[in-house]
Amino acid sequence: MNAASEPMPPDDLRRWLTERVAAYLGRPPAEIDATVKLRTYGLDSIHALSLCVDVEEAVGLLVEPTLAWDHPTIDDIAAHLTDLLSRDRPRREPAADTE
Amino acid sequence: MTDFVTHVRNRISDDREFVFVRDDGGRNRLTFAELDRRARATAVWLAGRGLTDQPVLLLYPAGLDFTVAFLGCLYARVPAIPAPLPDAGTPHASRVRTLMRDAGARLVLTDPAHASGLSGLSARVADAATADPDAWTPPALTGGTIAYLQYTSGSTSDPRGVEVSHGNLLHNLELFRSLARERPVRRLAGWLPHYHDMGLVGLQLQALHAAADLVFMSPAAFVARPVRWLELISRHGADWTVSPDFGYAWCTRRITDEQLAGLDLSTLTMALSGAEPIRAGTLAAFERRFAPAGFRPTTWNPGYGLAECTLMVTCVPQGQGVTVRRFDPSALQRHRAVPAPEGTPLVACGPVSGLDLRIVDPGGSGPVADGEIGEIWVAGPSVALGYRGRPAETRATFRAGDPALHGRWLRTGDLGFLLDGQLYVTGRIKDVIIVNGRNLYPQDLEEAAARANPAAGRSAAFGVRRDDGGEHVVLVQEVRRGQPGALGETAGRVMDQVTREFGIPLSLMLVPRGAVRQTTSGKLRRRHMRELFLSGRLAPLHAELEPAVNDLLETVA
Repeated sequence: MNAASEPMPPDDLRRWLTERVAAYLGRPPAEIDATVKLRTYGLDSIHALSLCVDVEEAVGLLVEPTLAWDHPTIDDIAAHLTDLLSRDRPRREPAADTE
Repeated sequence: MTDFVTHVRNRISDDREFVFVRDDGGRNRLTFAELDRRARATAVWLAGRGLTDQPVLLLYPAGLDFTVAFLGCLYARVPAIPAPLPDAGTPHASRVRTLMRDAGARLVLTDPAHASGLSGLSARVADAATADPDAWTPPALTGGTIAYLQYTSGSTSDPRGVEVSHGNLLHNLELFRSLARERPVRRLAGWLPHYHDMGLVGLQLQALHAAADLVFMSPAAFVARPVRWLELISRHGADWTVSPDFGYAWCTRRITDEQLAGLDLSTLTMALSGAEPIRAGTLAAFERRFAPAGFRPTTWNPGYGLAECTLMVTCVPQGQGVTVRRFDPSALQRHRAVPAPEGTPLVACGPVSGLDLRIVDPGGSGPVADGEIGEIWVAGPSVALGYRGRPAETRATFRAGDPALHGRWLRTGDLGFLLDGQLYVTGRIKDVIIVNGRNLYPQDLEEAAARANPAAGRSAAFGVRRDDGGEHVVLVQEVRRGQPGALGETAGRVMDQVTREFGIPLSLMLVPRGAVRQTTSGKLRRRHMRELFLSGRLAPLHAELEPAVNDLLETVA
């Protein structure tokens, strides 16, 4: 999980988010549906804040602490992060070539 | 000696210190001697403004400025009111005004970084630099003098401030001291907020009382990266820490193998757990996870307490280890503790020591026998003076029992039983719901739900507890027949509002008009609603239940 030398493809991002959320909630990742609102699974403000920390460390993006409320499903979050990454990309591309 | 100030000042030295580890990892330090000097200067500043005996609200971020201001208030005989800093532009600012009105406080103190953000409250920075610490003269203090007001009881619109005296504080901290037995605490580490009774008394004031070092960090830093708490313990060789159950559970869940490899918890001799239901599963999982880092199972000290008794009522003393016993779940529901090998595990919260405690039949027939569940009543010098400015509520809560004995008992509102000399806590009569160590009041949740669905009828919020002690919030709301919009959308709106505002997951049931019961005097019957909910006797028009709550209903059914 090195900080985004190469942007995560959307599918990987979705899988990674599902794994993170499942770990916070102590449930198997298979039980988390990417189209269902995370609050349905019992996501609280502590989990939501941790998700921001993990996104910052693993994806290399600074996100608002309200991320999980503004984008309530895994699919919504993945789409939002993909959007941020694509906007970020022109600046990052030279670095991505080094790996 | 009868007051906290004299006690602390007898122990001032240059080789004890408070260390605050900032979110950026940097450290701010003050020796006890410097804390004392700054507190005296603050006291001179406060006294110079004629604030003696006038309560002052302390709105500080985590850090040493709070400790100085709090101690300065005590040195000046100013009742201190620790409260959380309101987030800019949230409804929390109105909470501060309600709190000030309730306490009769006219002054807000804060640090220079937050003064402009709180200018609407005319917050001041105690300009202690201009005051001469040597001009301080100790005020007359007795055991009955109010030291501070603890506002952790009551809803946002109806807050209740517990008046804690110097005598209460000294007695409760003496209970802490006796827990340590022959190995007095030398270095405390923690992250609990200073406006929380466990953070204030269990960390800050305990360190001052025991002349121990305190190493602490902000709650936000802990939540974001829980490993930092255990790193504090490792790096500073702390021997004592305190946390609600969720703090330990969060470490087990979040800390990676790589982080674990760098930890040394072998110096820890006391790990207190309290302020919310203690789950046997949390203790066992933490032990397993952190044994390689040197954590010993005998380190646990599960306890029970509440702000109305300063902080601690009972706690397992050092080295005794955890007692987990299993009880027949159906007998527990009938208010009896019957040991059963495959039953519900409950964690013992320690023996009764230094206070009087009895278990009383909530129906009013007096004390019950060991092994029978009733309301926990407490009496003794740690029991606080009462709720500020609320004689009726003070009488009802703090003066229970035989009037001939001046009603010396505190009704805790919690349910439990005594068995083999230890207290077990099983539930509560009062309406408060505790999630992640935070007290939530049903009125606040109901009010938020009504804002999200103005066409709704009555709402009732209550907590339900899983077998393992975890607590969940349930809200039952009446909807009108023919209310516009699909029920699913309405439910979504209510859940979005409550989840966002309180940061907690919610289980919601929408029910027809008249399903939320009231007494004839119009008081909500939340406990009755809870029973109906748990027994499956509510017929919802629409339900969105958290998986854990759903599991709970299935086990009951």
